[in-house]
Amino acid sequence: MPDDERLIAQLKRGDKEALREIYMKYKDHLLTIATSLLHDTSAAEDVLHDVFVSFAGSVRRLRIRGSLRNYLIASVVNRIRDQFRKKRHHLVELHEAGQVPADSNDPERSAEFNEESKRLTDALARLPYEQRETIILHLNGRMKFKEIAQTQGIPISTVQGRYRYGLDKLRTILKER
Amino acid sequence: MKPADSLERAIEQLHIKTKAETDRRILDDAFAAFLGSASRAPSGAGARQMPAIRRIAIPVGVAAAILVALILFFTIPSRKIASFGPVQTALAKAENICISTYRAGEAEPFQQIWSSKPLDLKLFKVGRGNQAQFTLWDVPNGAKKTKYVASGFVQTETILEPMPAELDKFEAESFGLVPFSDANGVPAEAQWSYLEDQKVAAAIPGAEVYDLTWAATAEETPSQTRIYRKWRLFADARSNRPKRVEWYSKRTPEDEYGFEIFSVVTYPGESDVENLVRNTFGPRSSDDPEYISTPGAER
Repeated sequence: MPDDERLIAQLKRGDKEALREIYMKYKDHLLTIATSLLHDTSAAEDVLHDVFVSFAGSVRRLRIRGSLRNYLIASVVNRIRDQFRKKRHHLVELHEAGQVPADSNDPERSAEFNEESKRLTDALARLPYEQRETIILHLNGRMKFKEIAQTQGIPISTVQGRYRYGLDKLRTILKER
Repeated sequence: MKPADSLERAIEQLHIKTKAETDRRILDDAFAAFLGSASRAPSGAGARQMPAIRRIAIPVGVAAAILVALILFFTIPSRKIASFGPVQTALAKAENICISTYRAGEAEPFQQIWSSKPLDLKLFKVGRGNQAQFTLWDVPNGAKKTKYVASGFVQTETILEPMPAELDKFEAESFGLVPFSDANGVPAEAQWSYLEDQKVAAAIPGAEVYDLTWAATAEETPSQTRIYRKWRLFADARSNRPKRVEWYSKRTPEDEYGFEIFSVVTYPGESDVENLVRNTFGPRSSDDPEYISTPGAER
């Protein structure tokens, strides 16, 4: 039985250690995606918190189609989209901001989150949200265009277009700096 | 997916780590939500409206189920295990564990390890008597403490990570109690056998005894000669938890196996580990006389 299926089965039987294992396995990956999308580490941590607490509270009733990893990534993305829907102006503010992600000076993170990474996330924050999401999900989330199309409810060709235009724009932004 | 250029590779390699305090907060809340979801059973008005016959039938049914379970527990013979896999699974589920390791023929362990998942700590004792040294990895309090028994001196260092990777690996590999971390590492010619000898089994009540034998290359010898090893497991007949493991070796197939070291494994309660730590080092947090619980501990 694949590892994630085993963990889910253990969870459904009430084994809370499986929850810890799932969290430890995916936390950094999900935080990276959330931070890249939100450009705000504190807000990304809140998303990670909400996703895991919600997952923990509902896992006994859940029927996950596809991989657990993609399910958790989709949960993060959906929550972020919900936030954006509630605070629509953030979409505008984010591309104009070009600000440093919160906590980027945290020494605990500095080894991983170096200057180059900061430059990259700053540039990503200037992309339209849909392009940014597509790029992050494809490259960092390692989701196929088809899977992204399914989560976004759009044709694959649109996803590929967003990806291509997004990357071109990102290259232009990075050259300007 | 193959990234086409360095920009794509850079995005692919973005990595941001969570902080230990964030992990604690999220795990605490997630465990609470998980436990809460388990206890959400019909209650209150719904229960009061339950027909009288059901109110009687349910407790009777539960009692009958418990009775059947007890009968099965005492009458069904335990199933023999076919590999050390179930032992690893049982070890992974243990909340608190103590492993005392002895050299053959000695009555005092040369090393003891306590590991507690609910308390999120590991305590090592190396050496004996006055020469012993305790090392405590206390994750919730972010401290590594070392106590030298001879002087009574306690050295405290701050730890920033949840638990050093090598200690996590040590735990993941069954605390060194099992010779191979997974079935892939077991040599093809290795033999697993159930030991019928009741005299051997009688040494550890309630245990089934198994032997795993294999030939390994003795890397420490210049000639890279083969060394023949035997690992004897005394596993609890019902839970598969190891109670004792013994290690043997010999230089040629014709020799008798020489008994080298053995470990006695016990499963203390959380409060036992808590008391041991308190008696060795004092309260875990100097600011708070209360024992600080850990992420995931049921409150």
